[in-house]
Amino acid sequence: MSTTSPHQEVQALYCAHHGWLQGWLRRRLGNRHDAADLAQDTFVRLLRLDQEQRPQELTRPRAYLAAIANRLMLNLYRRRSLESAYLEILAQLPETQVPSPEYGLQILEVLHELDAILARLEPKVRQAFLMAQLMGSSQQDIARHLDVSVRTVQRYITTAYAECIVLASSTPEMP
Amino acid sequence: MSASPIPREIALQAAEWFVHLQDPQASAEAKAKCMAWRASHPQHERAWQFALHFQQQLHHVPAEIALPALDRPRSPDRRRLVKVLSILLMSGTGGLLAQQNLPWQSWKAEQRTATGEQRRQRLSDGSLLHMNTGTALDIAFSRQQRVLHLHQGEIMLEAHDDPLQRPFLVQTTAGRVLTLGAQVLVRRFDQQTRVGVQQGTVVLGPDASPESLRLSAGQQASMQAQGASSVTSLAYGAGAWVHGELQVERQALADFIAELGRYRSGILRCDPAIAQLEISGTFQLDDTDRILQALAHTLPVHVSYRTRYWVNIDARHS
Repeated sequence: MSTTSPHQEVQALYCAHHGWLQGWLRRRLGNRHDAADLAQDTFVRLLRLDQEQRPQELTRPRAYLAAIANRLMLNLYRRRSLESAYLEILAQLPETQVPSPEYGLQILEVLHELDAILARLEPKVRQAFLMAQLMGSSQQDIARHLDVSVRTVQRYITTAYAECIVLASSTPEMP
Repeated sequence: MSASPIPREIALQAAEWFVHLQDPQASAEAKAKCMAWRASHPQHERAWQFALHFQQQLHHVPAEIALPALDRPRSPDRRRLVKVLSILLMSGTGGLLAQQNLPWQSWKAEQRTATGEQRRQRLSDGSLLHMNTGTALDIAFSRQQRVLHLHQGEIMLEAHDDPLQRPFLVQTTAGRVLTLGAQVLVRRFDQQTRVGVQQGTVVLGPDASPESLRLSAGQQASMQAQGASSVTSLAYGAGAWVHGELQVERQALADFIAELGRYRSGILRCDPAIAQLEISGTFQLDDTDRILQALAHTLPVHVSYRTRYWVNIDARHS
């Protein structure tokens, strides 16, 4: 078993692979700035792992690092797509419904939290769930809209909640 | 203490109870059984609390914001790319991570402009992409080709020659616009896609038809899945928006208002009585209110604001 401390292990990984990872990210993102940020975030994430989450030995460190970086990249895209959708929604709202800047920031934070979980659902499951919870649509209406049976809609909503519980209770963003 | 995920069976039970009790007609007996279930194990209660927290968070956001934001379309291309990439990363030998073995993809998040927003960006091949108001697209460059999926809105693309000789495709549901190098305007309407060429040549390929149509500089045509329209000359002022201008010559006021409305949030309503009045000129799009005021000075119309987001243009009664 390793006799070095976890921090030393991460530091060794950093020295050996940080440059490579940054190049790998830059080719995918097409952007130096994001690549530098995400490369840093990858190692920060490694540092934060608990003893039990940390792999005992890395036979392929670059594959492991790339997997973490990939997840971070997807999160970045998802966050940006949410934020741009949010701005577009604000731009279309009637004046009386546009939130104040402070409240708007709060709303956006909550949206990020919800989106991180809902993003993992199948599209129809997510749609059924949101229609029921946000629009108060009847199960018949949802069934018609999604072209499935009412039974399936009930299953979708229950599944959605179950997934949300599992996802919300898991350590976030493990590779 | 690190959190441990709730086991799926318990999560499912909690979800069933939670959904059941949301029904206002849930019986007192059901409520009592639920409480008993929650109390019977700490994980049960924990699962319940997660569901409750999630529901509370959901209702924290106004529904008219939450629904379109959380239910927004996720690009199908991106999901496929993600699947491919994650399969490759999770399996196989270390050699998979070498540049030459992975599919060489550079993809970006869905690109969008808000109402009234215009944006210009340089793509990784050096081409210049101008996005007009209310546009949504995905960029998907690969080793074989440069693809742009236009979901909504309008673009002007200055497609540069590619050192790799990859063709450039703008794809919509009507079909595709193919070019090796050109300056082209593409606008998506609901049922059709309109293409205008400022420089170079493009080929239109409707999705459901084997025919193709070649357009050169100064030409314009529309494309539906079933086929392309005949070729006309490029409309007057077609690319003026790229310079932030709306340029028209003897355009019917109703059409002008419809165009102007693309750059404004809210409603612009034109009285049918004045719909056929003609308007000409070049207008700066960065201030649509100023354009509306100009209308009131040059035409016999009255512009009234019910709110900032609701403007009526009526005949002026003198």
